[in-house]
Amino acid sequence: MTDLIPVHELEERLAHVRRDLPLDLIPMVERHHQNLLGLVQALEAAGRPPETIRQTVQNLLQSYEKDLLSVFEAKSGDSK
Amino acid sequence: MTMQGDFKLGDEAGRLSALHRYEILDTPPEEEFSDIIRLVQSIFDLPLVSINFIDTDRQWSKAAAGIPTEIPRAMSICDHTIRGRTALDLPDLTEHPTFAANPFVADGGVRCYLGVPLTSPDGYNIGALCVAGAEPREFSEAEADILRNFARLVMSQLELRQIARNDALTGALTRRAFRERLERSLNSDAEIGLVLIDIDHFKSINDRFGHPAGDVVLRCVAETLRTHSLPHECLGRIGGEEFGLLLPGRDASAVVARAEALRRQVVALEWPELNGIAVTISLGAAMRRGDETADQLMARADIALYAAKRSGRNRTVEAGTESEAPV
Repeated sequence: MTDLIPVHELEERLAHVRRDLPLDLIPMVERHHQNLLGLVQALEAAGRPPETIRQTVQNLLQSYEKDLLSVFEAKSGDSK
Repeated sequence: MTMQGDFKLGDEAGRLSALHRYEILDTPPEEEFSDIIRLVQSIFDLPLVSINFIDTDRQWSKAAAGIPTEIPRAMSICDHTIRGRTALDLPDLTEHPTFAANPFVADGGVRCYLGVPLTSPDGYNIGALCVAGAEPREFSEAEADILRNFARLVMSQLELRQIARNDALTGALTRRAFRERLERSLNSDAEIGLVLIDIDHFKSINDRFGHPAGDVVLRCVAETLRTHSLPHECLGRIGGEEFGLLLPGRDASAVVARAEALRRQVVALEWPELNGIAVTISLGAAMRRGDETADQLMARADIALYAAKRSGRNRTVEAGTESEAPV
């Protein structure tokens, strides 16, 4: 993969997020991470420009992290 | 093509059950799915993109570009995609014996289609992610692979959404998710029963036996309520030790009978964690009246629950009865 493809960024981000995650969410987030890496590889294999790949992954990451935040909010605000 | 031994591809009841577990059908648009549609559209440079779920007799789209939100299942090309494990690649639909007469092809001008199944973690194809266009197009294996990866992301997004909707301790819906479900139910004309359930003396249980024992009580009561409910009924944890049970399509007498049956099931539980003392629940039952809102229905059920507490606990009170006397 080229340097422009944010694989190491993904890994750093996962390591950072893992520290704050409840244990029961870790497998799901890791699966999502694997799926993102799979998409990066598939886009690269299809010859998509690195900047498109970077933008795609960043959009998906932002969207997922926003949802992850609402999981925390729902779990801390709804049932307790 | 059905893989040998892959019985889940033929298990329609199991597939529908897996689909309905996600509670995604007929929900409002959500940005994260629309984002995926926009990304797929920009990568494939095609006008038609859709995240489709295949229900009993319809295709329903959670997010789509250029495709109606709902169409009859008989018209759905994605209904064919979910019958296999691999991508359905149709470079020119007008030359395909099955699809040439499809109204989207014959009248709508759709020429090419690529779809991949949305597969649940337990192996059921609950829907499909597809792209389509107005010109014939050969899709490469690399493109199919991109779409497969997007489909996996749709599923992980669905999984996260599902977790956000369920209380981690009891597995019941969270207050917010239960409320959404109640509001959706009230949009139909069906009879709707709501039972609010509160564990009696829960604070004393926590104080006397500790919070781990309190958590066991919450888990077991929720499990009992769920086990003795029907699949289309819905349990939510709406407060610390308070639950709601939504019973669609039941009249008042059936709702009250169910509430009483649940109460007896909970009383019959044994609690070694509590040195054998009994756990009881109080219940308030209310039926939806006319154009009543979710707030109004909840408020009446809550008054009935309060009456059950006030009149001695371990009982069901039906809202709207003269004195709200125990059933």
